[in-house]
Amino acid sequence: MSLELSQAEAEDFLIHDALLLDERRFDEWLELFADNGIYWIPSAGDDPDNDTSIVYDNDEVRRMRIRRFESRHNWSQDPPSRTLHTISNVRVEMSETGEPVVYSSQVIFAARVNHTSILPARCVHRLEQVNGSWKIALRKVQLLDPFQFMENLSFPI
Amino acid sequence: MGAAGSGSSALDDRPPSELVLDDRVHRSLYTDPRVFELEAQAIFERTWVYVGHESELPHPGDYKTAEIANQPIIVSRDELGELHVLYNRCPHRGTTVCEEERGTANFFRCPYHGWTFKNTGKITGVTLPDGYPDGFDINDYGLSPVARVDMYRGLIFASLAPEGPSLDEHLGRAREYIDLKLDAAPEGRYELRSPSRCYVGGNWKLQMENSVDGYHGTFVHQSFLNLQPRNLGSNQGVDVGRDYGAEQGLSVDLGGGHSMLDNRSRLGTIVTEFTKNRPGGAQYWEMLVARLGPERAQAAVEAGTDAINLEIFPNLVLIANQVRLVRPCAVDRTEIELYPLGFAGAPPEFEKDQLRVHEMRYGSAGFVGPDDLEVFRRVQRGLQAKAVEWVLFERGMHRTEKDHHGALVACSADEVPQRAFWREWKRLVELCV
Repeated sequence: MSLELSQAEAEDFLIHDALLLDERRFDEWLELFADNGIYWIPSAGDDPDNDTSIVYDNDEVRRMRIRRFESRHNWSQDPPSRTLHTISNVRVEMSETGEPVVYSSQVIFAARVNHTSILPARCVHRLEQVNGSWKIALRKVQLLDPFQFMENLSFPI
Repeated sequence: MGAAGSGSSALDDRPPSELVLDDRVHRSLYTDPRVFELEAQAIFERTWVYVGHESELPHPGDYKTAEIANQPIIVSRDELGELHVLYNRCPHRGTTVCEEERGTANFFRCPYHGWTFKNTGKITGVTLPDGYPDGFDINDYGLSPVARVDMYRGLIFASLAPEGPSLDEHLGRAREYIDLKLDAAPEGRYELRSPSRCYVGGNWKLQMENSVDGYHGTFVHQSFLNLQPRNLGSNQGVDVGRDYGAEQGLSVDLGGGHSMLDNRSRLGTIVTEFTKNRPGGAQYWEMLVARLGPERAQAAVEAGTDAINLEIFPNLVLIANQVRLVRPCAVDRTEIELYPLGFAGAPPEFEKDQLRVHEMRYGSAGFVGPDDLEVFRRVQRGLQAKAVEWVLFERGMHRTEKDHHGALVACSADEVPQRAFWREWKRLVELCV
């Protein structure tokens, strides 16, 4: 497989990533990540070691997040949130180390208990090749308003 | 006394003394907008309210904006390093003069007609002054300061009332535990990191009652406990299927509406051993022992992690390694800010691990906080049932004792803290009505 990522391949990847979440196929979503992959939703700043993030999940914590859905006692997802991602403005660039970085604008709708939240974000997917497949090294969701007060974001977006 | 009553609107015909009983409170205190307004006047406009931390304004010229009972304020540090808390309101026509959450500025200029103020509140300029007659003294037209400002261990409080107990008097016995929790900073210096932010469609008092609720952990947070997270030091070895040790610690009424859950006896050395084994933990522990000696170091580590939940009336909680501010926005809307503490001089890997643990637990995407918020949402819904009037706080009344300080104490799953909160609530409301 080429180490370059075409626009069409990038869009397919993002659409698949979002589809797995919207269909709550979380175990498959976990497998999109490289072992060292990070799922990151920044809040106040861009330095994750010093600025508190909303989400900064490595593999271990990401798997815990998904395992929590298996519990009958996960009250924050009882009933569960249903999401819909719309994706646009996709652009592929190459990083300094020669790996593709996919930028997209996404609007994530999350519906739960008669209320739909709207979360616009500029997303960054840094991808790397693992055994012939593209895997996510970094999945960053830069919310349009990262410092807003939110009620419930316990599900992955 | 559990029978359903007529559920008529309480404030019209019953005073607060009849709505807050020794062992229960009336549902309308969580749902009636008039109670919310009464609380603003009786509590938030009278007592000491947390407005910020000195680490949010480290340099002369720094400021932050905040609110007390939905009233906009500016907290600023002037050129001499003094702190001011000013109403964020131009004396002319009422415009806010600062819309940034934080920044650095020696002056604030009103966007409406350009009046300018120093960060002390003193007015420096009125534009087109010939529109005002001789005898007009612009010095009467500064930004109004709030009545009182004071600070304890870096925590800045303001009171909108010119008279009343001092901050030290207000904090009372809570000071000893603020000191203990903050002693977990290895060099004795700490700052607040950027906060996690949540809101809930529920009354602010639900969050205050929950933060010192030792009864709910196994039930609300079972899905988290089942994950057996590596970094849940205070729960190593706890049998999740049982009662989470809920009756082995203490709930304590510290007076003045303040309270705490004290689980130090339950945890013994579990937390200190766990802390030493964290990334950077051995070095952190050595630093702390060097500064405090082993006994105080152990007490500080226990308190500064999970062994003490400290609640400062009316709306501040020191829990885990965070400062939690609970902001009432409306009777059924509350904003919550959770500020993790950063310890100056601590090993970077220790500090990073602290941040990761905070993010994993708290905030809108944490594994702990959202389940509490969901419960509050459900409580707010359930309390709409008018015929079922009372919210019960009788747990542990039969086994409440006084400790050697004279404080009321029962076990950690008992509702001593909630009764302490409501007693102060009632006292302040009765002064006002």
